[in-house]
Amino acid sequence: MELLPELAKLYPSDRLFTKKSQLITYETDGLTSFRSEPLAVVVPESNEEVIATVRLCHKAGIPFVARGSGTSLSGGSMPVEGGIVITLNRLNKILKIDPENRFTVVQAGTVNLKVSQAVAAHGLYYAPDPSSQQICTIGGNLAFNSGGAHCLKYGMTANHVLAIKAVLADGEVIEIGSESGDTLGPDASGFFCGNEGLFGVALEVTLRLTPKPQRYCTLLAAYNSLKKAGDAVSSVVDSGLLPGAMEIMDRLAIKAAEMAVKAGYPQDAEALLIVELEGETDAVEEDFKHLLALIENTGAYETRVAANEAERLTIWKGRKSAFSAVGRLSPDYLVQDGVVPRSRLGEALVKIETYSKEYGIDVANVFHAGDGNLHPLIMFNGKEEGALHRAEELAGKILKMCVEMGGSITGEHGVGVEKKAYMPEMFSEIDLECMKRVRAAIDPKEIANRGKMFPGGEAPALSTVGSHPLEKAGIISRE
Amino acid sequence: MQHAIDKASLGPKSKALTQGVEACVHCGFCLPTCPTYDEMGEEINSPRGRIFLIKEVLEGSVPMEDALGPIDNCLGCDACITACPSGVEYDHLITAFRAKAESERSQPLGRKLMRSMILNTLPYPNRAKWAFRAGGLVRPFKGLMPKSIQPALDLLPPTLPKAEYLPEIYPAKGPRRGRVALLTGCVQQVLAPEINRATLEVLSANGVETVIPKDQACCGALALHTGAEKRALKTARQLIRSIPDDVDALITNAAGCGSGINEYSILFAGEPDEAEAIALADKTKDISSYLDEIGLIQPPPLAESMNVVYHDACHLAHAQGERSAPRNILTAIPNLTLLEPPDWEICCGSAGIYNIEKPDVARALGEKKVTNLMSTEPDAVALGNIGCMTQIQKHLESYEKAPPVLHTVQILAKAYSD
Amino acid sequence: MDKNITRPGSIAEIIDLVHSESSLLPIGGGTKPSLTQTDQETTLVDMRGISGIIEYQASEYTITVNAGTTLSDVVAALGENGQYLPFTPPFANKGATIGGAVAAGLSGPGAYRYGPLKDFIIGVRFIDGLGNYVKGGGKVVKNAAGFDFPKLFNGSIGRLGIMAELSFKVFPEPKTYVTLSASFDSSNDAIKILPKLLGFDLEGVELSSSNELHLRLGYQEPTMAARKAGLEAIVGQPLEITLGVHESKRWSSINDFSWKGEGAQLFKVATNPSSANQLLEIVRQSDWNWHLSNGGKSLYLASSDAPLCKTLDTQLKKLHLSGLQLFGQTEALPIFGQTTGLSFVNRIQKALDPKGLFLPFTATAAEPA
Ligand SMILES: Cc1cc2nc3c(=O)[nH]c(=O)nc-3n(C[C@H](O)[C@H](O)[C@H](O)COP(=O)(O)OP(=O)(O)OC[C@H]3O[C@@H](n4cnc5c(N)ncnc54)[C@H](O)[C@@H]3O)c2cc1C
Ligand code: SF4
Ligand code: SF4
Repeated sequence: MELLPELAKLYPSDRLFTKKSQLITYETDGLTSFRSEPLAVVVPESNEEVIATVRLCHKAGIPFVARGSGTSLSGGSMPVEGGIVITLNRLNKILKIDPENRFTVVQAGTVNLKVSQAVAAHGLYYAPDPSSQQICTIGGNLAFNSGGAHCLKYGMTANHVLAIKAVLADGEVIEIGSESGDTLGPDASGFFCGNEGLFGVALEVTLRLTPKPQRYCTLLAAYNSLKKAGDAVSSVVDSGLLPGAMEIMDRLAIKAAEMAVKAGYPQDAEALLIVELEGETDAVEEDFKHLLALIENTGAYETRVAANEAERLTIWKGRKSAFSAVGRLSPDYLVQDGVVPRSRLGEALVKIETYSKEYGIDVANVFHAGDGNLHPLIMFNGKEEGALHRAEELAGKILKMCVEMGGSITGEHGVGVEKKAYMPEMFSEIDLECMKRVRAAIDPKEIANRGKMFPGGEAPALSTVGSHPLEKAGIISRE
Repeated sequence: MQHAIDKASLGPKSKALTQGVEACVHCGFCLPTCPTYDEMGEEINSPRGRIFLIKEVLEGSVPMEDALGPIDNCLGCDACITACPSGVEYDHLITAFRAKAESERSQPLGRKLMRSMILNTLPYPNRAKWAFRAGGLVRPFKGLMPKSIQPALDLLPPTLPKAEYLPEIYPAKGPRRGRVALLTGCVQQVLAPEINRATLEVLSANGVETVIPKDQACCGALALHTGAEKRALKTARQLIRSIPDDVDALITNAAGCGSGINEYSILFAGEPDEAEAIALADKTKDISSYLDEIGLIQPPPLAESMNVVYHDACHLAHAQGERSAPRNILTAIPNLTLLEPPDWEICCGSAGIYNIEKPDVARALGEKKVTNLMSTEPDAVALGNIGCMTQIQKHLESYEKAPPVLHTVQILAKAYSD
Repeated sequence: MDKNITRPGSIAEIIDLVHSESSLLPIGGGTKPSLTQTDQETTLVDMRGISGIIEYQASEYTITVNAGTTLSDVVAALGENGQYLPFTPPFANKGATIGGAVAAGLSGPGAYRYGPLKDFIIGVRFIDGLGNYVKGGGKVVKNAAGFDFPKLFNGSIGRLGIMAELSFKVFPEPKTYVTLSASFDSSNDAIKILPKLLGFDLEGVELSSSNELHLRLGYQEPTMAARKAGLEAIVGQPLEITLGVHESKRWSSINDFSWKGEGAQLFKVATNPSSANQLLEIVRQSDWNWHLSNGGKSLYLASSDAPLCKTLDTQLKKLHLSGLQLFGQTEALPIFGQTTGLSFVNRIQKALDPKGLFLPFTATAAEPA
């Protein structure tokens, strides 16, 4: 079966892109060092069109990639060479809001922040808040089980997904989970989350809504060493307080964020710690007193408390812009996403610093300190011969360190193409083989996001040195 | 992003053409604020997509001709600049790229005619007046006119207000606190002369003397934003010559003009008079910024209290980064309550000559904007740009009790005179 | 009962069983009898031989335990450090194991505050139907690598594989609790209050069949009066305070389902306040006993009436709800009502257990034609 003529029957020409000038803008996602050109891009406007597209791909054995806003930082939404990109941006309606029972049903292309905005009037919000929340879609969040700054207390995307309607890679339409959130039988919707687009395309997602805390108490503490900030996190945790968020930024990240949004961060700090408590007004204010007293003893040379919502948002704006803002410091960078046990944060940071010196490459650090999720931003100049490879090598060292410390290669950005070579560091042959069996049961032709997550196979592992085998074959390119 | 653009081949514009490509980290933060992305949901019609496309054209892998569609679709509203944490100077990028595109494009006759008609009339107050009059007359026969000029006719006012006589110097009331020159604006002078009048009154009430240079010319923004660079340079030079040296500032009250002058560094890149042009750009201030800077003299309350929704004109909020000054001076009026609409950052669809060239998108955006503004149940809409004013007024026509749409200084002038 | 039952003491022994037996069902403390009911052909694998805490570092907020560890052991270990399993799994005092809690997907009243069990399980090691010892997830609170097997095993009722090792995220527990109670004329009135409790950090919200609403709070002396007043404004009546031993007894009796009555059947239905109310409309016309847990998210029904499951199945289907039987003679699959999601589960089961060693998710009257 020829796929393109079939797609042309399904889509009018202005929703089926096949010209190079159209296709190239879909070549890459938030990780621009990997690119590959699809055969075609479709812009469906209904579930039926998505389902029909998947079924056609299955019949033709042609791979497809679902695409939300293309902000993946691991190459997750990079097209499969010669495959179809199914963009979900027009499937962005909020279908139902049930404030009484605290859930909403949205189409997968709905932008994360739009959900919170739509339900704000009911005193509710959608808790997972990745830094990219103003643009990333619920479908992308679901595929990557995205997190954010508030994961320790509120959990990741999967904890907030109640039910999913999806089309599996072979065309079967499934409805899993329930509006209740108290599932019976295996937690299929929880399992669907984090599949990195390998199971199929999510169409409609039922999300748990969280009551907006009556009160947020946010503080910003400046330290003259990263270690002190790290230790402060431990003392907060040991005190029995459960903050909604604990974030640390180092000197370079502070500088970049300040350039981008002028959050008014202390510019001479080696590390900034943001701690946020939230909940019932009276209880939180009481806890916050304890927190302030505690922070006092952690060696912070300056502590600021957000006096109002505007000040709180400014503090967060700086933090949330940090990744992109690093673009001001360096033409290119790699963001890593490893996790270490929180008590070993300090140790991990020291190691990263050593690696950074060893390689002569600057690394900015922004991380979710509460759950040990590091985001080292490895800066390099792609124009320099071999710079990318050195940066990747350094990234690889960091990932291995995370696994050795008993952590993970990815806390929230997913494996994608970028980290698939490191899967064997975390999982044994047996573990991976079992996952592959599950995949085969759902997608026998391996058409959904082919070449992602699993090492080897049709898209061989990314080698840390030298060019990628796919590059050599001329299938993907990075400049 | 990395690129393989041969900078040397781009001449003086090379910085403008590559800064954006280099600084863009492809994070997508600009997508939700882009009106064309909001409307179409397509990567190609997003800022990030356009930057990528421009890169590919400059690298030579995509022919210029194939890139023009999405590039033409850009409203030049600069919302993407406000949104971008990475400091991409998209305004410079698109302006420089359009100039390049315009010189390379082979265009259909209709578009050529249309552009030339606009560029030959709007920037010249007298010609514009005649064109509007003529347009008003032919409007009933619109169906007979070529399709490409129909949208332009839709925007024409059925009647024109009476021309205002402007003196050469408008004195300050009370002790003098400053002396400025006023850019009277081309279209604005014809469509809403009362804005200039109000500007003069408010400046005067604040102790500022205003010079209105007689031989001033269009700032060149319209031509510059559509890629007609030579024409832009010509009128810009005339403007520079006309502004006396001894003024504290050149005041603009149409955001489009202000942002146009801000872009002289690109327009004049590599020209012999580059320094003079930049000096004038540095001196140019929006009326609201100027008043806020010198400290507004406390206005008395309005005769009747008012709920005013403020619309951020793209060329003020995004291009000039000015959102606080207009709010500060409006809220200085004791009995005025300021309202904020949802989705403030998204363009109303009027940008430049967009509503003439891309009427469908412009209409959808206009409708959305008006819905958002009206959701605040305002007594009046305040804004700082004539383009937005016409667009919003037009889309308010369908409302039964449409609130008046006023320039920020008109409300202030009212307070000072009430 | 002379059931075919065996108690392996190591992973290797479990793997041997997988290779030698034709039908297996892992069991824990047997506190949810409907879930461990089988025919003679099936060998029961008593997991209590695989027990003990493997790794617990309080400052990490994580714990890794063997699946056969009793809940009471886990709770005690955590308690020493002022921490707890925030989903407060039921039957902790009755010998339930942590593996059994996961397999049943059962959470107690604590789930109201931070979410049910599935939100706290972060890692699993299990033996699949081919005898492979497989790992999914990890031991850190945040992890996005690989398919999320830990989530899948929540509610797997022993049918997807044999869990041997489990990792959880844990939290600090309030040092003392206080319960505020009010009584209502009808369950309808009480349920109407539930959505309004928005924004209050409650550790439990339970409604009993005598229409008594119990709100549990972490006790914090300086703010108690203000919080109580805030809640009274919402509930619309004065709240009665219970503290100390009485307080904790009340909640452990909820956790042990002592209201159910000896010998009765017990069902859990996944609801939300609105659908719980709809179902209660019907329940009120019968002599079934009920208890609404977790702010309306789980409705428990008990009856000594034999045909309850048939009636219930029909009612649940009508309301698009599903239920799980915990006590009483049951069908081959103890899941009732709407079961649309099981087609996906079946496909996964075929991958994990291609030979059909474990019991299927089909073969029940509840499966739609
Ligand atoms: C500046 C920046 C900051 C970020 N911060 C965070 C952060 O704090 N936390 C975090 O977790 N992530 C973060 N990310 C990463 C990224 O935003 C998330 O991974 C996000 O979930 C991706 O959403 P998207 O809509 O862009 O998805 P895409 O990038 O388009 O797709 C991501 C993956 O999801 C799949 N997919 C998309 N839609 C569907 C669907 N409907 N059905 C099935 N599969 C689908 C794709 O195939 C792909 O594999 C950040 C990214 C950037 C650029
Ligand atoms: S926000 Fe800036 S860096 Fe990010 S994609 Fe848009 S232009 Fe590029
Ligand atoms: S200038 Fe406006 S229309 Fe053009 S890309 Fe930027 S946001 Fe979009």
